[in-house]
Amino acid sequence: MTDPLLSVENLRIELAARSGMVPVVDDLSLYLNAGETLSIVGESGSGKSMTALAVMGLLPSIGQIAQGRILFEGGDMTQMDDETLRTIRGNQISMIFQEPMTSLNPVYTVGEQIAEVLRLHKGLGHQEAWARAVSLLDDVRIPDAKRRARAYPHEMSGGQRQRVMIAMALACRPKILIADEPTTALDVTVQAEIFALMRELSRETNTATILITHDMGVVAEMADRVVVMYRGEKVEDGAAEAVIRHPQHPYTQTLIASVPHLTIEAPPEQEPEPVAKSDVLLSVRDLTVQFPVKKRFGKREMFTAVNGISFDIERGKTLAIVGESGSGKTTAALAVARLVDAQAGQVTLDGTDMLGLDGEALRLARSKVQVIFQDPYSSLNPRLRAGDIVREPLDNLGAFPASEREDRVADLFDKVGLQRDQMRLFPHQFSGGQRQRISIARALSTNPSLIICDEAVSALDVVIQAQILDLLQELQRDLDLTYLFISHDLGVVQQVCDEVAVMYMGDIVEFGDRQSVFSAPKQRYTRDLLAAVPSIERANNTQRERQTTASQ
Amino acid sequence: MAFLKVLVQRIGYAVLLLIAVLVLNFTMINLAPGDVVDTIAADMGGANAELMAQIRAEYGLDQPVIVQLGSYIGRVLQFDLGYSYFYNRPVTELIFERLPATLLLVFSAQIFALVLGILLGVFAAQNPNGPLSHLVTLFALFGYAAPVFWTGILLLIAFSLKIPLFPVAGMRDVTIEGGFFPQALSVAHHLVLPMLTLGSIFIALYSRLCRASMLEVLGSDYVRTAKAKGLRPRDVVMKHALKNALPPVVTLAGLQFSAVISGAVLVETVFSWPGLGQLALTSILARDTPTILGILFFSALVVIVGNLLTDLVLRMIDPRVRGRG
Repeated sequence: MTDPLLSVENLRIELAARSGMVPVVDDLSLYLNAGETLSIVGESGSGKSMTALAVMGLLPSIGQIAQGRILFEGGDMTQMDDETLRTIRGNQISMIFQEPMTSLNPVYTVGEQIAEVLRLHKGLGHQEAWARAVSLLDDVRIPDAKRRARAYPHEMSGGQRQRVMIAMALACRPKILIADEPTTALDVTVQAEIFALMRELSRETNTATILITHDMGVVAEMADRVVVMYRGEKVEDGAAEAVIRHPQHPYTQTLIASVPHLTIEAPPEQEPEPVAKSDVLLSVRDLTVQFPVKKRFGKREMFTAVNGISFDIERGKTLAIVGESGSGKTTAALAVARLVDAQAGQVTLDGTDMLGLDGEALRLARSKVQVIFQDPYSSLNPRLRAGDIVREPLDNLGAFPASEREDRVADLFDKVGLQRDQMRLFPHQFSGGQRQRISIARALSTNPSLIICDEAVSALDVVIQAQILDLLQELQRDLDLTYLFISHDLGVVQQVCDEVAVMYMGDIVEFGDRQSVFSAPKQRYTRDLLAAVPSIERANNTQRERQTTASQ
Repeated sequence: MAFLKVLVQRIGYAVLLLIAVLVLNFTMINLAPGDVVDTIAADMGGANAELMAQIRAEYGLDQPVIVQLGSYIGRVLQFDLGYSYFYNRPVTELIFERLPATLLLVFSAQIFALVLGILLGVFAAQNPNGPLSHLVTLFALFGYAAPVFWTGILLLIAFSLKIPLFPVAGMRDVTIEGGFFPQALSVAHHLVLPMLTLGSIFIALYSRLCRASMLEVLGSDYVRTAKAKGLRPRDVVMKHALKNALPPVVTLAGLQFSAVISGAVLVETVFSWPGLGQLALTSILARDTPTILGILFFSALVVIVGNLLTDLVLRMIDPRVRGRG
């Protein structure tokens, strides 16, 4: 057997903290053969990204490799000087990052940013490098590449920017491509396209890939082999299929079990009769939201984010609105909560005409609708204690007598699974999952009749995500809550909702109960959306098919 | 095309702004007690009320203020800034004689402060807690905290008297004969100390802001991308980081134009630089309203032009600003 292209031996990475050097990766060994795809899986903080940065020699200044070797084609990269490393970086080993929106330099054209790599490593002249950049953009399927090469990053969508990053990374035909969560920030359909592109290009150029992800579905679809990391250490590795089918380590088992995967549901026995809903809590009719956009020559045009949608939610049920970014799902929900102004339509919540309210009446009505936002890191005021965050709506809306508020807050902390003595802590002293529990407690504080969950679990690791979803469902049962659940993640949606509305470019294109939408989607867009979700089962099926065809 | 449109639009705003400035200046000057006739009377060693009224009528100062304002704006729009009672010359002539000197001083000090401030900021950001970074901060704060006339006098003592590298006063050596080149050289020689003095105030501002802005940019994802490409540290900093760190500094520089002009008044006095600053001082003491108004008008014009330039530079640096129009 030939030597692997890259091997990491007993790697230990330490970060400087107040208490001294803290290991974030310990005794990690892994290898990568030419042309294969290795996936490193783990939750945030497991050390997977640090490993990638160490291979690139790009550890943050507070980090250092304390031990171990990184061998690339036999040479130890931890011993190389900067000059030698620079000839490898971006040339032999290149990397694409998680955030396509911020990973490109905003002040240079995308063509220039690609051409720069070619001039640097391949010594091409300006014109040659530019021509090559254009053809690379063409390779990553940027339409009209010749013209688009002159575009700036802000003129491109997230998916296109990630394509540009791929073009840049593959420009010098590297031997290894490291992709750190390359699609986490993208919509599912875009994710599917990006993965297809990566698979195709790496096969064409025989590039070995290290794919870092937290999504077992992605592993199942992309990887040959997998390394599972937990708290800085490797807990399991092996062929991707074997690990997924027979996970040995308990953490791997939890990881696979928590993936909110799409289950194949039996189609309903018969078309459900459209029964008149008995106890409608929220009724939305012809809701339209428009934003002014400044067009050329100072003309003001309106962009219609939500285009006259209507739906009802019954008391105690969950309606999920799914769709990709820009579909208007969040705008619609925020309009219901009166956090965004609607131009037309009617929103009736528990008999109250929400859109007709203003001033003090509107402020008081907010106790009836509460929102749990996506990002638990930025949606809590960092200067307020957790207990005060939960108490503030009570004081503000006078929901309970002042003497009972203290008890109410403590009670809410119990309900969401936090300790009472944590009320005195500040948000940064909590983990992401705990912060989202604070957000939930805050949302519950005024006994709202409707809770809007705006991508409430999207920013969390799968294991934590599963816990928060359980909590939400438990609370719904106990307190008879009604949820308007906004998400782009169909696996999550399937787990929590009673009914689904699929939004596409401001319209509801499909509406129905969970069973019928997931088992027998009527619209093509819904079918595309479902097909784009990476799934363990489907990947296994196709692999089995591949093997059967190979053996025949 | 988009660029031309923006330019025309901005110039339109600038004209409106200038008219507003004219009205404001005129009102404020007229709110102050005393006028040129009082000064003339004082110079003559006293005059009776009759004579003073006669002089006022001669200069149109007996008209209602609003009429005076109307005729003033009307004249300014025809580039007639009036007649200086004190110097006995048209104000336009007085100002045009001195404007180039002030412009030269203001713009060269601004550019000097920007270039040095940015370089120091970039340099300090490389190792934000290193001794050199602290030294830069200290030096910059010193320049900012020291009164400009004091810095000026100190520089004069050091580099004109003790080590006679530069001339003590004036703008050019009158004994130098010859064409444009030797003349320009002489002006440049005279310019060094005033420029250093005036620029020193602003180096602190620009270098501090540039340092902060660079530190933020150096931590950004696209700088990491640039490193991942295998670029040399110099290219990462000077090409990928600096251009992104500049907009706040340029914006601040634009806002500081007015401060640079007020600083110039002091510096011109210290170095006997024959610019608007000196003229302003004498005409204020003489209650020479038309000249003061003329100087204020041109100062406003310089500030507005400076801001216009800032806008254009920002558009050159950041493509996202271009999109907004």
